[in-house]
Amino acid sequence: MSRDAALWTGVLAGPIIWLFSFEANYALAPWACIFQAKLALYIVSIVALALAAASGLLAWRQWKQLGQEWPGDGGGALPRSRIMAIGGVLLSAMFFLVILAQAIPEVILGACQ
Amino acid sequence: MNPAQGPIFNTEEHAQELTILERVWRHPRGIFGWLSFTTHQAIGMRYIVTAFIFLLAGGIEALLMRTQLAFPNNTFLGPDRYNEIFTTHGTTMMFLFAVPVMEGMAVYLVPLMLGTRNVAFPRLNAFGYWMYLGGCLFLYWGVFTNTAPDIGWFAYPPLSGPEFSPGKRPDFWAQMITFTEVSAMCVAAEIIATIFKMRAPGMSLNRIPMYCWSMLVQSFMVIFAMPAIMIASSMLLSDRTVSTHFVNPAEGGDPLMFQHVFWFFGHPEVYIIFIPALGMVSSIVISSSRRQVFGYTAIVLSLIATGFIGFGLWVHHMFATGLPQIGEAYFTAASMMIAITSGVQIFCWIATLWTGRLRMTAAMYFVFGFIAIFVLGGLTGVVLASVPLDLQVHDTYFVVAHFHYVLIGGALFPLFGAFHHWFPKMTGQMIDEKLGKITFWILFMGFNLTFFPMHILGLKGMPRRVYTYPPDMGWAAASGLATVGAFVIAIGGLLFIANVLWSRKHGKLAGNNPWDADSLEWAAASPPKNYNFAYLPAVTSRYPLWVAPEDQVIVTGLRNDRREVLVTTLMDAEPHHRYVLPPPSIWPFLTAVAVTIGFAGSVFNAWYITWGSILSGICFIGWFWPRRPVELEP
Repeated sequence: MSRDAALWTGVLAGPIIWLFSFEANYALAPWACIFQAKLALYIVSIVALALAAASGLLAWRQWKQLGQEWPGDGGGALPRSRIMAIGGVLLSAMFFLVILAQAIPEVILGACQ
Repeated sequence: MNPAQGPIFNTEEHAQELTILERVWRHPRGIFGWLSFTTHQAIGMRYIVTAFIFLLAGGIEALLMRTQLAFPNNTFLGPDRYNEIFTTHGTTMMFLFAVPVMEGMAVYLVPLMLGTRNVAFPRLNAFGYWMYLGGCLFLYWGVFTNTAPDIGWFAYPPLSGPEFSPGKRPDFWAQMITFTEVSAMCVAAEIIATIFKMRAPGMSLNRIPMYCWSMLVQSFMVIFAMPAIMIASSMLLSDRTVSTHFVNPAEGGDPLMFQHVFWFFGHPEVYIIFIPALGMVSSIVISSSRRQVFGYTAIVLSLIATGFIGFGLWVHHMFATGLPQIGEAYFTAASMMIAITSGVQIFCWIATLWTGRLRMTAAMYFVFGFIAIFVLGGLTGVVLASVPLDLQVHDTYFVVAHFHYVLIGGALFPLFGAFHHWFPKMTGQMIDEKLGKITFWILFMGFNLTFFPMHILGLKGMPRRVYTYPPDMGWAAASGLATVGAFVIAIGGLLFIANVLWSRKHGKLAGNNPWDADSLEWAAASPPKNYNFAYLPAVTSRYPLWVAPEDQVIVTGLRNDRREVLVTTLMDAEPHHRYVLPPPSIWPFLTAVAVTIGFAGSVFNAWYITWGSILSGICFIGWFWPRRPVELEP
């Protein structure tokens, strides 16, 4: 994967994974009640958490390769790449948290509540 | 190259260059000329002024409602008129004021901040404004012909369907949506293209001004959210006019689907209004605290995250519809998580202000007012995100209090701050600071007097949208107080208008950069010339005007004898190619008239869509007729 592709993946993967897992779980919620089983919801959430973590890791590796420095306001490709790399790490972490927050009710609530 | 070196600072040549630029960017004359303007300052100002007029209209409607609710059993307005007025108030404020004014500010400011001469698609920009104006006139045509919508600003079926709302009232609402959404999409497309491709050389992603970041996020939100509302309103309209059954449960349609589609737009809409305001606050905070912003990366990432999470909240408007509880809980979780991203920004601003050399301008007063009010509105938002609490206060004045705290606190206060901050740039004169501060205090007090009691009214069970109430409910005192507050707000509004008019006439001359601010718009003349900059700037820092003058650089090599701009690369803003913007044209206006005929007529007869399409097609041919870039004769 080229560096720019990896950087964009880091930035966009977290939110996009969240949107898909969220929509999938929302669509599956009535079925969980019909089949009296929340397994599908758990699977979606766990897969989404794993993917968000992977995207964070990818961004983290980019950041390490870019010298692990906080992005300043310098010109050129390096500082710009750093802001994208650190952005990927933080956005993936944020959306990991959002997915996690949305997984909590799956554990607490019954399938038909 | 450095402007201090080289031949361009030969005064004679400089004057010659300016004359050429003046001629190339001159506005066409006459009434047809006026209808053909395509410069972003003119279009932006038209948006702002028009939106402000509709803010006044919406404000008058609010005063009428508050007058009616001042006493129990009041008969100032009848139930039918009251329904029309609260619907028109909400519709006007959301669609004809809040979104367009934010777009107008962006159309005005973004090209200046990026250091270019116009938006990427100047004719689309003009077309967008005329469509917006068409929507305004269309709705108020209904209002003045006793056909104002009376179904609430979200027009839920079955109430808004043909069975319960015969006549044309909901049609005016539904089709007004189409007008304003076309306009919003035009602005979003051109703002994205401008920010991605027309930044000053050197303005890589990590140097984009905060306000432009916020407009970039907002524009993407518009592109993903607005089609949803157009689908919702078109479904409703076709059910009403050509007897489809999208939202008719008797024929297998689904009214709940309308709510889903509406709120899939409706919740992001709040952020579409609020995110530009965050950008304005960042600009004001940076220039008033006279230091670099604390946490640039954190704020940018928060904006982006807010832009995404904003699409995952919509069902929290529908908690009372009986959806599965696990499903509802997802939205509770997302609604609470979005508080993190807003919180990050607020803490970054506080840190910036804390460590800067604060200058208490009128704009800063509005920023502090924003922080206080918005945080309160955010807190009641967390309350409403919780399903049991939401069910308790659903459809009461608590909700009314909450969203006025969020929208007025979160968008109107920053906007007024922005008016005070950029007034010198837009007019060339300083706005009276003392009057500005008095305006702030009156608005701040009036606002809290109006909307704080509504929390109490809501907790006491007063439902929204009732035209009156009996005296023994115990609502009279708080309701009366809210009415007093509404008139205090009106006084604040009048004072602001007076200040603008007075300062236009008697204000001190501002000069280019009265606040010693950092971003490129302050390098242009006040008010900016049609071409913005005599020499396009290049940037070497995130705060280009805080760089020592001898290190400020400009772009050379562009032709001035046609409307030429520089296109740069998306990520690093390296010069890519030169691009010639089209000259002014009457076609965007004529196209908007053609589309208006189609849209407005279709409310009465579906065939108008056909006639409108044919007319628009003809206009598009005129619009896109190929011609060589207009060049000045030597």
